[in-house]
Amino acid sequence: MKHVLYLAWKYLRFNRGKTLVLVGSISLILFLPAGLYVLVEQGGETLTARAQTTPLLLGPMGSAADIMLSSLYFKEPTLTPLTFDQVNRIRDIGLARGIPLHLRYTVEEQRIVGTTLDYFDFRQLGLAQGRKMSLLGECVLGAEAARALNVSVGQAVISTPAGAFDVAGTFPLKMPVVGILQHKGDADDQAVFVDLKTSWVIAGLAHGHMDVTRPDMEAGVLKREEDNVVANASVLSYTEITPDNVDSFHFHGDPDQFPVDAVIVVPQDRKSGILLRGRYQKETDVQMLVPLTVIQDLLDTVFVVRDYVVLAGVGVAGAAFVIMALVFALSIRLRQREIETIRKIGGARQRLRAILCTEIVIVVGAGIGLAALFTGIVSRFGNLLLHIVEM
Amino acid sequence: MMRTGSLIVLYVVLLNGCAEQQEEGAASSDRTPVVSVSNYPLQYFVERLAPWIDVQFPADASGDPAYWRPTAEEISRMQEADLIILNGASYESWLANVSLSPAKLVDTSADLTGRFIPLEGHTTHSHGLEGDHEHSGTAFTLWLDLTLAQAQVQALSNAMAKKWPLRRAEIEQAATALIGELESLDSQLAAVVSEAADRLVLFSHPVYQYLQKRYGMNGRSVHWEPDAMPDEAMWKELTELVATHPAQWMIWEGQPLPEIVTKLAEMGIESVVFDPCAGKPEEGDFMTAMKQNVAELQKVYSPQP
Repeated sequence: MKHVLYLAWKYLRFNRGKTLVLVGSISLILFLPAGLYVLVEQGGETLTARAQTTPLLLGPMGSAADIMLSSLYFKEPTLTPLTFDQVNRIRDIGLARGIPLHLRYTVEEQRIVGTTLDYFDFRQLGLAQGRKMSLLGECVLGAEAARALNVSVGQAVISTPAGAFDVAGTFPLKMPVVGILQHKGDADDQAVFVDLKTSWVIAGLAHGHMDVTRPDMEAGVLKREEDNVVANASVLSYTEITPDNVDSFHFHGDPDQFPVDAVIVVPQDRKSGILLRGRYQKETDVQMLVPLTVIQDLLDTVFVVRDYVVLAGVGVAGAAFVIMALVFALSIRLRQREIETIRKIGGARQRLRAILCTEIVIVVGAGIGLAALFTGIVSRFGNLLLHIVEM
Repeated sequence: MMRTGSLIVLYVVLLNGCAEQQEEGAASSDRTPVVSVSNYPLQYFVERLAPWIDVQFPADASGDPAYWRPTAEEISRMQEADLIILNGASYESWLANVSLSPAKLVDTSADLTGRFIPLEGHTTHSHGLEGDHEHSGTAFTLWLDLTLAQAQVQALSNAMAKKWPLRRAEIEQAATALIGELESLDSQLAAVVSEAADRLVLFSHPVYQYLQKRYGMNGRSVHWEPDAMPDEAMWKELTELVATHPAQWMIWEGQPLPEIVTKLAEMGIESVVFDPCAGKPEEGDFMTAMKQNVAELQKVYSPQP
């Protein structure tokens, strides 16, 4: 047996080019469907985990998938926002607490998540540095957002204006970074968290400026009536909220009518959740979603696509193995002289068959081993590899 | 089309998945519960309802808690409290500029909005076509109407019993006792003022709106501070006010300077102190301060000799 192995190994070493091509081909053919399967399976588990920890979502009428993706993964919302009184309504019903999300703005590529401190408790977000936001205008960064923006506690970030054509509303707000969250491995890592009121400041719904009712502010006054002062365009809003000007910040309009993109609804218990869903069943302008159901619907489709890909991979693998069998058969034919020589020097037919089979087993085994190694690497470091590929 | 787009995004999200979830350890459940309050009456009410609670009153050292401006560090400490008890009625003007968990906020006057007294004489401002808005609010010393104080205690009791259900009976029993004492005090105040309800009085500061309304006091207010001598314009304003409202008593938040007392006396106006108790009194507590207030009002409303 030792001699069989020795001769097979010597042959493969001598023909190392052919051997490597065969091993590489086998490993790739096996790895592609297996790796894809593992990656999709893992991603599905992560997605489901985030959806599982989000009992209910209240959003505007429209695509449930869009609401779920923007609320759970902070993708840009595409639907018309809700009004804040929907949050108060949930509170008044008394069966759950509502955590509002305002997701319209970014700092460069990182989404600004305007919410309340309840979100931190709800998602169990721990701080790696600093503290949670305390005053209007402060922000807390996810671990990846801090890395991407290259800022640390004590520095500041500036919100990105909505666009060149948004001449009336938003303006860049300079926000001091007061905390950085621990790495969590989900969408929270990528976010810039601010108080909901701060996101309304960015949206131009609240602002601060000098007191135009003061007599020395005549230059900024368009018209002074008995109990109303009309300010002119020279009265500029502050673009940074500091302890000195924070008291001048105020809302224009009724905050109950201010926008929120979605509300995470946390029922007191399972029964409360069912009752709440019942109450919202006949609503025409808002919808109550169960994120897990939405994600499972989407994942079902994803898994069908995955299954097709895997099936195609299996088909390709089958064909490849037939071709490989042909390659081995042709190889044996090409080696007729070598085989004859072995016979003439006394090599038994059985021994010859053993040598050839051992060569095939080593090549196929090495291919399978390499594919298993790649799949293991993807399963362990898939996230990291994707980050490297993205960069 | 929308579904296809969603699927693409989902794929990207999905491929970015995979990581370990870190969970923060839950806070220890055997620590002393902490409650933060925005004024002294609320501190007193909480201490009466639950003496086992650590009550924090961060605005205590600031003078008048209604004008407290919290620092980021003070708000960070408030964030750690189990409940944050608010007076409401626009008392906490700082609330709009800070981040506190809505789940922890207890507005003790949330059900009393129909009884709020709007403030008058505030200037609005507007920016072009956005429409007017004003930086005003409502009178906020609700607890000076002791029926409103009772409602605040009831709201507080409900919130605390919900937060600490195992101590519900204890909290509710203490609330019943406190409401009883406030009822008794309310009756005393009503009885005192009714002795001479049409008697004209002056208030040194516009903080007695609820007291005046509840007990039917016939009063007008100026805007003076007990520790600052009013300037000539203010004396002139008083003279004009007294011409149409010839009161013989001025009710002060704190003991006025002797020279003010003397000058008022020369105008035929006596001074008494009715401490609104927004901050912690130097001696005694809310109840003793209120009883002292009743005694002071007896001087004003005693039948004329």
